[in-house]
Amino acid sequence: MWREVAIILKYSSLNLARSSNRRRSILTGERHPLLGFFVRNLSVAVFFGIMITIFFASMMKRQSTDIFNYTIEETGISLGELMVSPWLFIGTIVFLASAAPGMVYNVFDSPDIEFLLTLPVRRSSIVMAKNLEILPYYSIGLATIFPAYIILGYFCIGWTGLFLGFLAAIIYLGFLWALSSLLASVLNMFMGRMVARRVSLMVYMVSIMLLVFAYNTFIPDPSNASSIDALVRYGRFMTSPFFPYTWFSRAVLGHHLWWIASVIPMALVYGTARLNARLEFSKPRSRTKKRDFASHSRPLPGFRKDLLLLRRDPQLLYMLIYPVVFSMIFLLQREATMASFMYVQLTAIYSGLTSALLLRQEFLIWPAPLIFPMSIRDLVLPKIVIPTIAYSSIYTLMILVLLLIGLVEPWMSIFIPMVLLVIFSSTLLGARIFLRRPNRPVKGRNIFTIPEVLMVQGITLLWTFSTIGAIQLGVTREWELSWLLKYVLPAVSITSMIVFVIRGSAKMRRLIL
Amino acid sequence: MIEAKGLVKKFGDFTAVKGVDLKIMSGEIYGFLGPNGAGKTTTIRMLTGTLRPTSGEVKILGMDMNTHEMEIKRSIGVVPDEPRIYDNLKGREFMEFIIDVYRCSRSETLTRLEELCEAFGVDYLDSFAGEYSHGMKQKLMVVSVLMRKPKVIFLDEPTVGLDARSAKILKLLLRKYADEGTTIFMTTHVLEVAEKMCDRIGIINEGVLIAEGTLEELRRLSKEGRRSLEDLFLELTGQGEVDEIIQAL
Repeated sequence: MWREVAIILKYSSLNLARSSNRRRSILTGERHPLLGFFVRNLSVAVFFGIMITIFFASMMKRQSTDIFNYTIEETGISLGELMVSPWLFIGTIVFLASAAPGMVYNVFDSPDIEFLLTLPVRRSSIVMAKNLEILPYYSIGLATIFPAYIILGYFCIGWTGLFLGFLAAIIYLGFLWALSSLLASVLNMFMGRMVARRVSLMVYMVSIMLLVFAYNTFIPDPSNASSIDALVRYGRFMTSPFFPYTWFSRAVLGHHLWWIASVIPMALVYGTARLNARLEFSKPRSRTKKRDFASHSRPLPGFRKDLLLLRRDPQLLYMLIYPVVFSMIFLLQREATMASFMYVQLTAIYSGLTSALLLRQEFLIWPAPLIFPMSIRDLVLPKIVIPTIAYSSIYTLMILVLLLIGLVEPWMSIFIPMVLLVIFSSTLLGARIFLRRPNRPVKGRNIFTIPEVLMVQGITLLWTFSTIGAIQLGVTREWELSWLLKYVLPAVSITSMIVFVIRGSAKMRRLIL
Repeated sequence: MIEAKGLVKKFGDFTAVKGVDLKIMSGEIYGFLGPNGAGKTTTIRMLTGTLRPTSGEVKILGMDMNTHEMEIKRSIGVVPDEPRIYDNLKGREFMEFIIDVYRCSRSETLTRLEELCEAFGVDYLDSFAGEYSHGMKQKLMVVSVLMRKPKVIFLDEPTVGLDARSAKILKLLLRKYADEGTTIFMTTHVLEVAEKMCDRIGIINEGVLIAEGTLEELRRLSKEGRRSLEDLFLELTGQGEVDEIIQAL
């Protein structure tokens, strides 16, 4: 079976490597497809894993080892276990929430599934390969669970603990994988391909937000005694034996009877493989239920269509929500000025990408949009206007609310027209860069090349820092900035944006006509 | 009606269409045939305004494509060879978009839409287009064009992906529309379809319109007295050595 899995994976990874249009190298996997596949897909998990390990290790190294083995009498839980449990809890939710819908999309509704089913290959091998293909979906879960067990083992037991932690992580991930497969089989009964795609991508992106949020709010400080007391209550919940990760935490900490629980994931894996072998890959589609259409014609069909597409594209929705969530983290710490600045900084980048991603929707069905009685201007304009209105409305609302509750000073409302200009310039920049090379590959998630991304990020960050950043630092932080930085730099930057908007619009007109 | 004069399209050094002249009257079904890569799709794209000709002019319903592009697009219907619909729109939303963008009369169009959905078995308007098969998309495209009842209809390989019943309905409907005065321009590789349906046939090869006329007029062009459109087509496009190839295989 594993030979079959390797063959499927080898060729599907070659296909993926080539579609990303990169140079031939070991990382893209043309020469060593399987190795390239794992390197490419696990790099995110490894990066995050190392970051989390460094964070945990540096935090724990400051304490003596005794603290981690200290047992809170009321609960019978060691402090070390209490500290890693929230991470295992989040990792488990993220893994299950992202892997199961991802599997539904990738396994049950892959475009190549019909072809694979015609090959003399077992169904369980196809499912296994398809489940491995979506390794990036597991990344955040992997990156959280591995370091948690390893650090728990190492800091509480020592070098033997490191090995036991590694073993526990492998077994627990196997358990989660099998459980995700079972969940995917259940989800497949009522989720179509498009819904599965949206759910899987949305959950994946929300999980990243959750992780950033948790990083800033969840981590307990063990050096604070009152904090430890407060953790007792929720510690009981987090380390409940009803959560499977607790079984393996206990096993790592020397309660060896818990290793018996390893049988459960193995049985689940076996059961899932047997179930997968009998899977039906096609599902009946739903019939038209209602027949009611709007009774009157509505204006701006292009705008309405793009709004619908924006609402339904998880990547676009994520880019709209993420800056709000990110700035909320600063708001929780009552850093309102910083929160609004972070919002502008992120939206300046995202608005450029949003306009490009909206343009991609047209190029995905190109040349069909040319059939419609719409001029190119009618096609392109909503892609610039919609992100500009969306991002600047959110910013205006944010400033107004912060003004009302007194977290920012009234003078900050002068930023509203400035932000509008930054966002408009950014969307125009994104659209212009996209249209400079309209024949680019548009099927993957990354529509810009690395230099193009750097260009969008560099220019928009420069605009943000030289206007809002400079004024904010000069006024609110009362930094000793020279008049050149305080007044001339923002003025020059604003002028450059206005010139870009005027010249950029004219150039775009030439590009698309 | 459709009129093209000296239509040329160059892609760099390669000339895909080399001075094609066409004149198709209203109420006529015109079959545009040619081997793969002959220039059929390029020609149809120039006639529908999705590709600018290098030189030459296109007039649809008496309007010049250069000056009245939007009016022309609003009056014609196009079923492309590859049906492409926004994946994240449901069939119903795509139809709403078409009705609004073409500024159709709503009540009339919706009545026709319901009838056409019934006829073609389009019962999946509540599903996302990304979940459709090729045939389902093709049927939706056909319905989205026919519901508007445009004065000129362009169809590029319309029967590909359609089931036998839908293909039959489409053929009969096109005949009916043509009898009512609609001009129909279609390309097809299924020569039986062209033979039975088309009033006139044009054959393009290597970017040049090599023959044009009714089936009877085309038969007169055959040096070997061929009768069927298939044999005629192969003779005129210089692909007649099929028997020798079969022997060799």
